[in-house]
Amino acid sequence: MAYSNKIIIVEDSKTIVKQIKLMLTHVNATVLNVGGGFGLHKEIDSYGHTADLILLDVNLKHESGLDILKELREAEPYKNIPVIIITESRLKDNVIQAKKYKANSYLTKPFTKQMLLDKIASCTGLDIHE
Amino acid sequence: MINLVNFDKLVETHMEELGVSKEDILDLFQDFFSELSESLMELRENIDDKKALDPILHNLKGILLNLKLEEQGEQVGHIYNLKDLSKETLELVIKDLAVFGGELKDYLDK
Repeated sequence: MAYSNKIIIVEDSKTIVKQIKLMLTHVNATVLNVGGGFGLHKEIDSYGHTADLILLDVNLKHESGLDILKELREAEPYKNIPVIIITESRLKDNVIQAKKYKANSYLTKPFTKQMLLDKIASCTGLDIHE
Repeated sequence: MINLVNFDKLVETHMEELGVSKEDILDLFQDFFSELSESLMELRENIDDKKALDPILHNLKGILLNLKLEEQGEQVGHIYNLKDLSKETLELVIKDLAVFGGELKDYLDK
């Protein structure tokens, strides 16, 4: 059976989750969604303590995506998982913090399908051709 | 006022960009309508708590921007950036967003 890349979206807006899933419809990947840090750890652990990519929204309603990123980078099994953070263009502080916590890249809203695919390809090297 | 939108055109634009069916995009907008309704309810419930309003408006702005409703997103963003955000202003924004939501619902129910 062909390997399917595992991408986890950490996002609590069901609209954005659905939009990202539609952007990745034709991509060779299993795309999962969790609403926060607890769900993320559970999901990663269920897959042998790893994932091919995490798309992490910074502005979750009940917790900070930057805190989740910091925790990931401090924990041995998770620290090398590629993370792309999602933020808003005007929130430069988020980008600075994300770089400090070693996010692999960032996407600013609004972003398009092509922007997402380009980011995934450039920062993970995943074979995501449609 | 939240600007009016040509939903037909917007749906077409998303279909072209994502390469998916009209049903997929209508489904996406159905989710957006339901999230907008939840956000409006939360805004009304927290109208006196400015701290609680910020993440709700922030989230809404992000969704609007990503759905190519940039002008509407910027309008919402402008509101939470106001230092002297009054209850009256907020009530107007909620009313505006409710009208916008009603238009979207009408489009989805067609």
